[in-house]
This record gives sequence, structure tokens and C-alpha cells, in this order.
Amino acid sequence: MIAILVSWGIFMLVFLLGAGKGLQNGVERQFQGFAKNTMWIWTWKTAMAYNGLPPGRVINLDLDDYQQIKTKLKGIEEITPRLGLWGTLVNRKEKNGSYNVLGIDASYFKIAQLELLQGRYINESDVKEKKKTIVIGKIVAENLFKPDEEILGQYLNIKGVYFKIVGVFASKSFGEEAKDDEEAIFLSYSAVQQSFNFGNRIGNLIVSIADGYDSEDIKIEIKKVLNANHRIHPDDDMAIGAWSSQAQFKIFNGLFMGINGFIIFVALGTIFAGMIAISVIMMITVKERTREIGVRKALGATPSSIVLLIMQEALFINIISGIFGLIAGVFLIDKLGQVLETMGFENEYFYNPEVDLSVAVAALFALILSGLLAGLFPAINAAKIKPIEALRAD
Amino acid sequence: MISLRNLKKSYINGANAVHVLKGIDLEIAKGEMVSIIGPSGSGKSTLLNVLGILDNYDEGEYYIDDVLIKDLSANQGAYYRNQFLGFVFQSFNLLPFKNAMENVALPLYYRKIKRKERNEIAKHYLEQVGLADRWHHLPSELSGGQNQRVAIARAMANKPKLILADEPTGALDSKTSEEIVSLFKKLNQEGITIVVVTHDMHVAEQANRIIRINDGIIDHAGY
Repeated sequence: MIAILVSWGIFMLVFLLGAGKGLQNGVERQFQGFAKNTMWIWTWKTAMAYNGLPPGRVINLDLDDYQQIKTKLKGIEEITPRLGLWGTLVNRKEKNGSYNVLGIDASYFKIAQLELLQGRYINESDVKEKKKTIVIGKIVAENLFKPDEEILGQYLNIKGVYFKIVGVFASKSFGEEAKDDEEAIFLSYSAVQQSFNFGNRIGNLIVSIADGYDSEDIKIEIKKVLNANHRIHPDDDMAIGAWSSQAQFKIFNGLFMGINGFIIFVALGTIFAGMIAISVIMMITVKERTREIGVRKALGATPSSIVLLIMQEALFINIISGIFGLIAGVFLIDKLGQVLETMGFENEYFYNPEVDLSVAVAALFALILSGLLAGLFPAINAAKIKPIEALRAD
Repeated sequence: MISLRNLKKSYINGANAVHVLKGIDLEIAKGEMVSIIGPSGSGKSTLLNVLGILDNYDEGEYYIDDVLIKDLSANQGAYYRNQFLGFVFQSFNLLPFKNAMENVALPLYYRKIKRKERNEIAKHYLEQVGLADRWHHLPSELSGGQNQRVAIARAMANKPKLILADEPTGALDSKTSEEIVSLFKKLNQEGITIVVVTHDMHVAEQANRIIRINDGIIDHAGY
């Protein structure tokens, strides 16, 4: 009975911590799509009147914004525009498909977590000379080409303009995000501007932030520049939007600390309840064994040897049942991981649950300590038993 | 060997002090077998507890072999009980989950004698009480008389100066009682000092000497 309680407590602790770790691993993996400290900047309509201009103006980022942020602001490692033709019909011979065609700078490939399979990425000279060259995602290649077909050097027809394929890439992300990446076609933003009449516009900006700089500070700086360029009210929150992975990461980190704290709280509570239960049951045992303890004392047992006797017993029960719970917890977490994997279960938010050795050791330590504490009071009670009372013939 | 001088003890019962022992003087020589009798409430049990170092007393002196037994700490009490005394109880008080040999060896465990050695000693004493072939039996597998013999073997295992027996035949039928009393007599003839507390006159009469206690004092210490 007590053994089950302690087992359960340790089992819960190990299992919950393992599951929490799985959740954490899953979400951390979500952030692998882009370098850890990345920021997206986009625009929409103004919400406030400013300098005699009415609200509701549509704001578009342009090359000037890009150049200014790139050259004037500190703490920016890489910066690239992303000018998108979302869901564009692309033709090749008799095959076709609808893909996202994205105009970017060469530095995009330093921010995004992609893997080059064939050829090369878009480079500086592509951008400068507005070359009609493209790199395509793995899924695009699989859809438009036969498995043994030569891809590099072939042309795709995008809205009536022919582009030459110079590279094929795969995504390092997982799940939906990987699919999004691999269904994209990249080319230089300058070529997009020229071929599809975007003029000076650059769509969104993607920025990676250098080590030692805070994304919130950079965001404020960028907003200042853009507000000035486009005559936006400084307090207008709608015109310019920004999302930073660092801020998001912080939120998730806080969430995980919360979850872990809760798990530890529940598990410790269970162990504590187990300790009290052990204590109570040991008290009853001591009552039942009053006579035995009396006999032992009559035969020369010292109070300390009685304390030792009872403590040993409590410790023994604790450790045996605790180790059982520990093994069951670790085993189940391990099996869960395996089963998820073999079933091909790909949940974006749960991945590779595991138990730290340090957690296991800490659990074991908590166990031994709780065993000692649980045994202490009954043991002291037992040592106080007077042999005369115990031996009084009933 | 055993010497009590003007020994007094009282219990506080609410506002009143109940005087249980009102000045006991008693000498027991080495090799004697003495029985203590008296009606219930006479102070007989209290005297036994004091003799057994299971309880303290207020006034007077108690010597075992010239060692003053007074105001002992729990550890000293445990030590002297183990060194000087062997106990035999009415209800045997054997540990139910240990076999006969382990029960007999228990006092030796508290003397920190190694398991192998104490088991050999235990077997030796079981042989003396005629249970050599029953050493591996649990108390529940033995008869009342056999259990009491195991208890006597246990009382002898640490070679005590004195064996204290509290109603040792109280839970036994008359035939078995006879056997136990004969065993005590046999041990006494081998030189062991024995004090038997009883209210069974048949048992009491087997002793060298009967001490009658009444209302906290000894009113008869004849032979």
C-alpha cells in the first residue's frame, strides 16, 4: 500500500518530467526553421492620421527602407527583402503546379535553415544583374521532374516569363514548415521587381540579429526609420508589424519553466503524501510491534538500536518501491518515444521524450531522504516504548 | 548476590502518591531458587520490574554483584539487562517471525556476537532444554510448553547472573507446568540463580525459599 504510493510518486515525477522534456524538444525543434534570433517585418495600413495625412494609407516597404536599415542600423547581421508571389501557377512542359515564388537577397540563405541538394543558391551577382535564375524546393522538383531527369539548367515558366534553374534545396525544418519551404521557388528580389512590375517595392524584411543585441531594441530602431520614411505616427501600431523569434522563444521558455515547475510540484506533492502515509503506517506498525520492541529492550536493545531498526525498515520500503517507480517511469518514457517513432507519429509539438540522468538521481535522492524522514517519527516513538508496558501480560 | 535495601517506590496518581513498595529488604544468594508470592496489588509485579531493571525506584539501594543499579540511563539499563539478567514471561514473548534458534540468539545479537557464533550458542542452549531438533521451528509451530522452553533457553543464552520468571506457568496446563518447573529446578541445580514470581502455590513450593509480599512489604521470607 505505502509501497504503491511511493512508487506512484516517483513514477509520476519521472514520467511527467520526461513528457515535459518531450514537449520542450518538440517546440524547440519548431524554431529550427530559422536561425534562433530572427525578425520579420511587414506593413499594412496606417491607423492614425499624421502630419495632415489621413488614416488608412497602405504602406509598402521599398528599396530605400532596405538600404537604410542595412547600412545605418547596428546589430543587424543579415537582412533580406522577401517579395512574394504567393500561390503562383508554374509551368514546365506539360506539367504544372502552384507554388510560392519568393524574391530574396543572397543573404536569405544565411538566415533560413536550408540544405542545398544540387547546384547553387541565388548569389550577389544574380541580384545585381537581375538574372532570371531560380532555385527550387525539393517538392517542386519532385512534382515537375521525373526522378532521373536532369534539373539544373532547365527552365520554368512563371507567369509567362522563363527562369533558369540553378539549384535545388531541402528544408531542415519539420512538419508543415518543411513542406512550406520545399514548395517554394527562390529568385533575386531585383528580378521579381523587374519581371512582375513591383517597381521599388520589396514586400517584407527578414532580419537576423547579431549576438549581444536585443531583438526588442532593434525592432524599435527599425520602426523609427520606417515611421520617418513613410510619415507614420510614432504610436501607430498597425502600419508596421514585427515578429521576433527571440521574443517568442522567451515566452515558450517561460511556459516551460511554468510546466516544469508544475510537474515538480505535483510529483513532490505525491511524494510528500507518500511520506506521510509511510509515517502513519509505520506508526501503526510500531504500535502493533510494541510487544516485540519491549522484548528486544528487555533483552538489551538500546533506544538507538530500536530507532535504527524502524528507520531501516522505512528506508527499505521506500527504496524498493521507489526504484520500482523509477524503472517503470524511465521504461515507459523510453517505450513511448519508441512507439511514437515506429508509428510514424509526427506531432509538431511533441518529440523525443527523455529523462535526464540528473533527474533520475535527484528522484532517487528525494526517495532516500523521504524514507529517512518518514521513518524518523515512528522510530523515535518506538524508542520511547517502555518494556514494562510492552510486556504486561494481556 | 542480589541485595535490596529499604527499597521504596510510589506512583503519582492524580493528587495522591500511591506507595507501592514501602521499604523492601531482601538478600538472594548465588545459586538460590526463590519464589515470590503475594496477592494482586501487593507490589509483586513492581518488585519484579525493579529487579528486572525495567523500572526505577525512589529510595533505597539495589545491588547485583555489588553493582549499584540506580538512576540508570536508557543505554546503561539496556547494557545491564543484557549482561546480568534473563527473562521468562507468562506469554513467552518470542518473536513470531523468527525461528527457535534465532529467538534464543537475540540477546547475543545485542552483545554484537557474530551470527554464526550466536547460532551455535543458541543451538547449545536449545539442546539443554531438550529442543535440539526443533531449532528451525517458528513459535507458531511449537506447543506452549515448547515455546516456554525456547524462552528459557533464550534467558540462559547470555549466561545471566539471575533469571527472572514472571508467572512462567500461567499459560500452561498442569502437566506442562510440572515439566517447566522441573526444568527450572534442574537449571538451578546446575548453579543458576532463579527468581520466580507466581501465585500458584504448587510452583512456589518447589523453590528453596518462598518470599511473601503483602501491601508493599515482605511479611514472610521463610524457607
